[in-house]
Amino acid sequence: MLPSLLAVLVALLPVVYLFVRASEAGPQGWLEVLARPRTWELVGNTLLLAVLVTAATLIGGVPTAWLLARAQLRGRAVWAALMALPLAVPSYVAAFVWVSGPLRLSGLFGAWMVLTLSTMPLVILPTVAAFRRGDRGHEEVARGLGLGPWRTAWRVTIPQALPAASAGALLAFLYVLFDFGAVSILRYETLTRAVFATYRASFDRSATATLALLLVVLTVAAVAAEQLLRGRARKHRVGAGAPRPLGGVSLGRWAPVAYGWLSFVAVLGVGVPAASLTYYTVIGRQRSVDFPELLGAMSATVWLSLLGAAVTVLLAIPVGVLLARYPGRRAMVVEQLSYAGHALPGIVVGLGLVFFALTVAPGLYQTTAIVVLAYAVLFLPKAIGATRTAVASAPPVLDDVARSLGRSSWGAIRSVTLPLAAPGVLAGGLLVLLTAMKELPATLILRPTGVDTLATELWTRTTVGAYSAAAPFAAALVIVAAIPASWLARASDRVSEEEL
Amino acid sequence: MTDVVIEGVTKRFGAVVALDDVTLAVPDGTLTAILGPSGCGKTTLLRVVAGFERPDSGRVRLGDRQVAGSGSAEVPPERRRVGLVPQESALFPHLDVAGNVGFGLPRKQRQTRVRDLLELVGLPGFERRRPHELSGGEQARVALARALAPKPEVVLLDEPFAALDAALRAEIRDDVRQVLQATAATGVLVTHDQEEALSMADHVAVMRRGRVIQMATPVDVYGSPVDLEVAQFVGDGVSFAVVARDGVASTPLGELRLRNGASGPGVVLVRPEQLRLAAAGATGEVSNVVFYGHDAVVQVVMPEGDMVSVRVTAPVEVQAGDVVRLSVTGAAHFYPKA
Repeated sequence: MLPSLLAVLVALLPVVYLFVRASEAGPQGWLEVLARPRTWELVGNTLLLAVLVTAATLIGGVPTAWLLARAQLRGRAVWAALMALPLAVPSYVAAFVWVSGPLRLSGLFGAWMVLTLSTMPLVILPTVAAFRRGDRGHEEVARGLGLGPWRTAWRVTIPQALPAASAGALLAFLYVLFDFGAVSILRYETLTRAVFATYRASFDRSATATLALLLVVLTVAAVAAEQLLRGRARKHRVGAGAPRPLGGVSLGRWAPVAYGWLSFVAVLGVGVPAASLTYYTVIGRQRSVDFPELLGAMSATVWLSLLGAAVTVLLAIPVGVLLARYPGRRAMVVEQLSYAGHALPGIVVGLGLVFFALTVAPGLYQTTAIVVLAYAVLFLPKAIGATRTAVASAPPVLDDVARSLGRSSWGAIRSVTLPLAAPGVLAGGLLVLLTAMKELPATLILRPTGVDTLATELWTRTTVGAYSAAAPFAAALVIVAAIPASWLARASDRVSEEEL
Repeated sequence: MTDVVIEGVTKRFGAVVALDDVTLAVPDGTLTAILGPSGCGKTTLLRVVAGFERPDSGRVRLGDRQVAGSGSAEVPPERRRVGLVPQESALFPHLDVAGNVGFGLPRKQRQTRVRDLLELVGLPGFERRRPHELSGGEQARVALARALAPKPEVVLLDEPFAALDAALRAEIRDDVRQVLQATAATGVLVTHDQEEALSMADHVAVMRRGRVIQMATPVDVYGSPVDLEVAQFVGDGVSFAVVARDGVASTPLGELRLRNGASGPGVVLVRPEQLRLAAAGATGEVSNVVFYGHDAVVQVVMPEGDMVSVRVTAPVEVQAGDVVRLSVTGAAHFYPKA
């Protein structure tokens, strides 16, 4: 119990200090920020983008999921992989690809397109699962009652998948709220970008804190809406039903449309980024690449994210043990609180930790330690989920048996619990490592002076329009992140779905 | 010489009294079943003996060693020499069969001892199999071999066969009983299945709400249950509220002789096998026949509306709607009103 409180403490640090700093301005300060028309313009921009992206992911994602789950499709596995792959490309890399390409996309349209492509898998993946779980008996009943196949799909099949789709859509909504990299590269003004700009530009830190709090409020509202929807969705579900075999519905003359659509999504979401990064690495190599700087950024990325992953996993282990072994109300509270990082944009976590360092521990300001701390706050939920599953795979009865066979309590842990739980914990660590490598906003605010990761180098160069200088960093980032990703793919059966 | 003696053991979890002054003696080399409904405290009792729970008061003695309770230090589980066969076997999923069975053995002895034990439980040559490749019955056998490997003086079995299907269960019960006899270990079997308790154990301790209600041989527990609740828990039966006079009670089945010559108000219990379809006796109408193959249960509605079950051996010659006569063999159980 006690060690798990450390995780809660760390997770709550940024919010608390954000609040402390914002409250220094007092109600007048808040009102002043809220009275600025600029503030509402930012809120409007943010919500507009989030709503447009969410709508697009739903309209594009649900039919795609249906095709993957229910239609007779050639090369289904390949299509499924192509539809999920955009998740592996950080949104700012995708933004870099589109802004630097011949189309020079930017602004609302650019941000909408890039973020829609990045977040569509968040809708597709759960919806495919829901289509597979859905009881096909219902469809057979509907056909028996005289409905044709299309009307059956509209009245029976789609409503079955809707709860999963809307949960995914809300994840997409949050993703847009949190996004910093893509919108700033594409020069679209949202709250995250404004928070960063005011933090950089002014010494009025409490105004920055107020803007950040506004972002937190929007987030909490979205999370509450998500939980409300999920709660209602649970009531709609009747029985789990066994997973059905894939495919079955013949596409007939609609086949060209289906394959055309899937190809279109795959080309935009995977093909263009892949082609563009390949172009920059292979063909663009004649241009001089600053190798010392590239290597420096690589090693900083690896070093910071390794440290971050190690600290995060160490903090997560007591919580995972608590959740798996001693469930109950206290464990639930600990879990909810340590999930704070899930509900906070990276820029807000970074800012909160800046305030923490300035108030409490000035020695920490712009050090490796505080970057690592930020990674811990942001990625604790991933690590906790993984360790919980891992510890649950070693039930306490195995400890009992080991002890009755003569092992001491530590001996039982060493010979039974650890060997069973270690692979899952390790997979959690890899997941954190992978995500930390791609982290941008918190790293940008907190990194020690002179230290740059691949993500910050890419961002810095892209925002000043130095696209060809930025390219090697984008390519390096994708390659470096592919290493833990491939390990993770091998260990993925140990990690539950929720960590997506 | 390792008997298990539990003396006045009480264990509370918050406000719940899981064990209420339990006293129980398991003689050396015998198998005692602890029988009771779920939540009666039987698993807690097992965990107290194994050393995973510490009793609030009372004592536990294994042979001449006191392992828990006042007057001596609590002996940790790993030093009690108590083998454990847990629910659903709980094999170590990361080890193969040999790794599981050899877990409690010093490295040197492992190979030969594992081979001998697998032979003993009827799984020769299974050393390299993984737990997920085994059937439920095979898992139970491996779990037994694992528990017996370090030659424990006491073996505790916690509903080890609950997850197995009926046919397999009967077979494995028999084998487990023989293996335990062969090793001469003292056994304690926790179960909620009366058939399992009655068929496997030398003694049966019936538990209810944290207390041991009756401790006797299977024959006596079934034949002379201490109260109506125990009687109905260990077997089927039909009961009537009666007023007894000089060892006789008047019931819808006629005048019944009672076992203990009692008088006064109380309840009479008749077991299905005490009833016969006969030429003479009380009449009733067959409402249903449930056919089991080797025998059948005929349900008869008496004129007063009581439903009576009669166990008859095949061939079954009655059907629903027939009027039959019932005779009662042997004396009926009588429980005076409290």
